Amino acid sequence: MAFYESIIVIRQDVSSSDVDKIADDFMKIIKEHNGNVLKTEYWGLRALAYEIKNNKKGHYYFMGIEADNALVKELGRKIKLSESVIRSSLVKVKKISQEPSPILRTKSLDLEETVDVTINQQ
Amino acid sequence: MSYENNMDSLDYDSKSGIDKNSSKMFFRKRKGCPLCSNGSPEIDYKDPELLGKFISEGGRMLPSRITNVCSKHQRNIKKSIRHSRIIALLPFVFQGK
Repeated sequence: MAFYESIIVIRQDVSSSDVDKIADDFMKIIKEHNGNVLKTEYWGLRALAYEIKNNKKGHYYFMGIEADNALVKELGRKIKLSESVIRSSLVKVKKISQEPSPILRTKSLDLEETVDVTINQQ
Repeated sequence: MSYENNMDSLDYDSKSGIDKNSSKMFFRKRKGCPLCSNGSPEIDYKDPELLGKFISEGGRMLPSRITNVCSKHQRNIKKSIRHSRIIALLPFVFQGK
């Protein structure tokens, strides 16, 4: 068993209650294959950096899961088959942090961490 | 974005006591990687705000000789930016207008 992070981007015209349904379907698959869902986050309807299939916005849904090889294959296949998912990623990570993702942190606390990037030459 | 950073470095210079009246205004070369110091944020592909500091206005990655990032962190940034672009958190290229 290894840890994986999955992000799915769902079409903009899907309502947020349907987004939960779609995510629940994936979580059901995970549980059927003896995997664990350790962390879920809904990032809201975010503007995409570029248009994907005429979508300018998308619902971002994040899942941190513990899974084995068979489940990852199955989950990847199911995500690809789903018509409302326009973009997805499923990557192996060493561990899943319990803190909220940086995207949510900046939104909720409105605190920006300062990183100085000095530019030496023009 | 790079203009803001320029302004930051100007502030930094004035704080560090460089004579403002001198006719020459020069940029001080900051030593060290901005991500190596203690308490600096971790590089994460899920953090477009942080990664956005390391791309140019056109959306291209900035070379480390400009941002002063050490090679180890630059490698991580490179990976994260590429990943971030795939899930549309960062653009491949900024389109005008």
